[in-house]
Amino acid sequence: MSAHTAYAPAPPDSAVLPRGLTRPGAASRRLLRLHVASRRLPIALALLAGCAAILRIALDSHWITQTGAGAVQIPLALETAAAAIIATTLHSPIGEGERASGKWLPYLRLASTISLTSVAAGVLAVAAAGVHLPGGNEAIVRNLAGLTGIGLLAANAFGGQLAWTGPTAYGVIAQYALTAAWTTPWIWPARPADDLGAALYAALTFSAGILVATTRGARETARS
Amino acid sequence: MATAEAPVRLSLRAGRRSQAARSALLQIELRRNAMVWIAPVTIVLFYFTTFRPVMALPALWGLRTLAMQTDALIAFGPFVAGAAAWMGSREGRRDTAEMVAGTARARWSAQLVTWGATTLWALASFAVCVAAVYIATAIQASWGAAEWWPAAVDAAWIVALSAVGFAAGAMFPSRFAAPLAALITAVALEIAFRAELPLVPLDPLHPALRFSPYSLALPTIGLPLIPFDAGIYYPFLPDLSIVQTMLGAGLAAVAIGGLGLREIARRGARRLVATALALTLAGIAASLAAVILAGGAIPDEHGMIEIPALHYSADDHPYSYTPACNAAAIPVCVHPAFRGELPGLARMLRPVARDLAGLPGVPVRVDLDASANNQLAVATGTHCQHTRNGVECHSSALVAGYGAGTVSGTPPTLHFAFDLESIAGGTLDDAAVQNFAQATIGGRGDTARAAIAGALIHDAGIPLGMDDFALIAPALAVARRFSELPAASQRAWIRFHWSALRAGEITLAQLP
Repeated sequence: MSAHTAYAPAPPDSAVLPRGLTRPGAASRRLLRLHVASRRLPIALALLAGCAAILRIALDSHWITQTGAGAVQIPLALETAAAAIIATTLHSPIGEGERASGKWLPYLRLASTISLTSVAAGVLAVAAAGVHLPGGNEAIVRNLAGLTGIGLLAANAFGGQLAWTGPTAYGVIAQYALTAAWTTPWIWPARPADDLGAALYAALTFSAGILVATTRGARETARS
Repeated sequence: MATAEAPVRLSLRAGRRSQAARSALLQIELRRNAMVWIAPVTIVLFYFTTFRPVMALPALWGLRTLAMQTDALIAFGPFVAGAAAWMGSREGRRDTAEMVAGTARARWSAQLVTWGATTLWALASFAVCVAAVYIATAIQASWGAAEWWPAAVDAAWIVALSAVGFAAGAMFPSRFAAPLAALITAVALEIAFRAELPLVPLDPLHPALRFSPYSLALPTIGLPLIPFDAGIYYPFLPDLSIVQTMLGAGLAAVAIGGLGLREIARRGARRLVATALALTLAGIAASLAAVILAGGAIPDEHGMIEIPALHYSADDHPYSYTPACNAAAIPVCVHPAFRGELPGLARMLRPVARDLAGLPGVPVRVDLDASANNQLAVATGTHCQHTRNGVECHSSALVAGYGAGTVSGTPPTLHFAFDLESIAGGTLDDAAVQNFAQATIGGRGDTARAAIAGALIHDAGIPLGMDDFALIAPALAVARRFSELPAASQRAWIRFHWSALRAGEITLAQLP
């Protein structure tokens, strides 16, 4: 099954379609399944669950302190990991052919990034359920959304496979900002969970990332 | 004769051809390497997270280089591991592994070249950053020589993270290999940093520090383990750095050797088995030795970590130095490493010295000594012991950074200790004036003396408070009034009434 088949509009002659695709909705389901497979979304989901498991272990093992920079640094590292995983899924192994023939591609990209971000926020929140996580779920959602936005922008700038450099670089700077007591809202993880300015900047970054990811996708070079 | 030489010549020619091919391959890998594009990111991160905070510290070699060690690794480590995993997973991701397996060169040998190119780029960008820190420190430092061990530890761990990342990428080729390698490294460094030195305030008056000596083998190093005066009064102890370098090198050897064994098992090239096996075993031995050696770590009395098996007894002898003094009425002398503090000290002490110099009992000199700014290095009796929980250190007394100075010797000299905060926070000059006034005039329990001391401190530009020198409200008002007198009047009054003032025969009401 090639990308041309997956994303092309329905051919006039149903006899050329693979068996089973003549049923209503079958082509859409197949398209969705192929998109999920080509972006390695099942592996991404497993890795997001792994991040949540590590967060739970860290909370239960008291690696996360209740106050100070240590209260935020490990959760932030895991949120960075989740954002990097989401951004990496933007890479397409099919490339030009898919872009040329897939009119549903922007919607699929939008759906997959929004779904993965929601799942990541959900599993991290579930992992922290029942124990005190400094900043709470608000901080998880804010930090994850902002970092994912950076990852999606990085995917557009450097390509999906190097998209992880964006959230990682931001994560390292944010880790330093926590100890250096920087207060700019651009470094939202260093601000309190209920800080409106930080939430707005994170939301702005996420929106920009989603917009770019939806309309343009990840950068593709001849080499990739 | 010619027949006998022929195989030798052929062998030499083949060797040269092989070298040339390897060199050409290295050049290709250097050109087409992900680390080329990631290196600028690491350099920018290093500038923000390491260079700027390190340059904000006093220009002391030991302090700056040790502070650089952890921050530099946190800036570089995740990206080096990620880039190496990216390069290691290249053939797997592109499904070209089987194609290149059929070439003449053994897979492991070619992978070593790719890994070498990645590591060379990582080390080159790290060298640029280290050079910036060392050149800036060399320009600013007034004493001492560059401490290379912290940079060596970082270099060893950059090689290790590159090797581990590369092996992970080669074993699990996937688009997620690079981000996972980077972020696992980031989380691991963070946990290592946190696990290394949990401060345990067992007793607020006698603070204690508890740590697992095994965690010291990791390359992160917490602030309490960085003595302010490392390498100033006593030689810089490389014991801990040696162990950390050993562990880094050991892990690199295990990762690369293990990758070689895996490739050889899958695709042959059995002539390399001995090399891969030797590398792996040497790596395991070095890593185990490092952890075992770290298990015997104890803090020495000067604030550094000593490992008895590696310790060089000559490092226990203090450095000899000629103090740097200024040419004031009451000269201030410091270790030459702190020469830069002298102008500020002289400026602050000038009003006090002007009024008091030459009077009986007034110090003729001020000696400042650095006090290590950590609880391991409390000069007045640190006691460390191995317990079930690791090493616990208890101090028998607190050393106040700029607590009460003492006047001793003939002619009288004022000694007081200062700490990192007093230099980094710019409070050393204030501390010197307060110490001098308190030690010379005293004042506790005697409001008249306290008022004079307060007035002299106020003359030096320090706002008067009610916390020091028992300055109760009436004394505070008198101190302000005295300080508003002309300098000549102040000096004349103090010199005329000095003996009576020191004897406690003057009351607050008698002050002008």
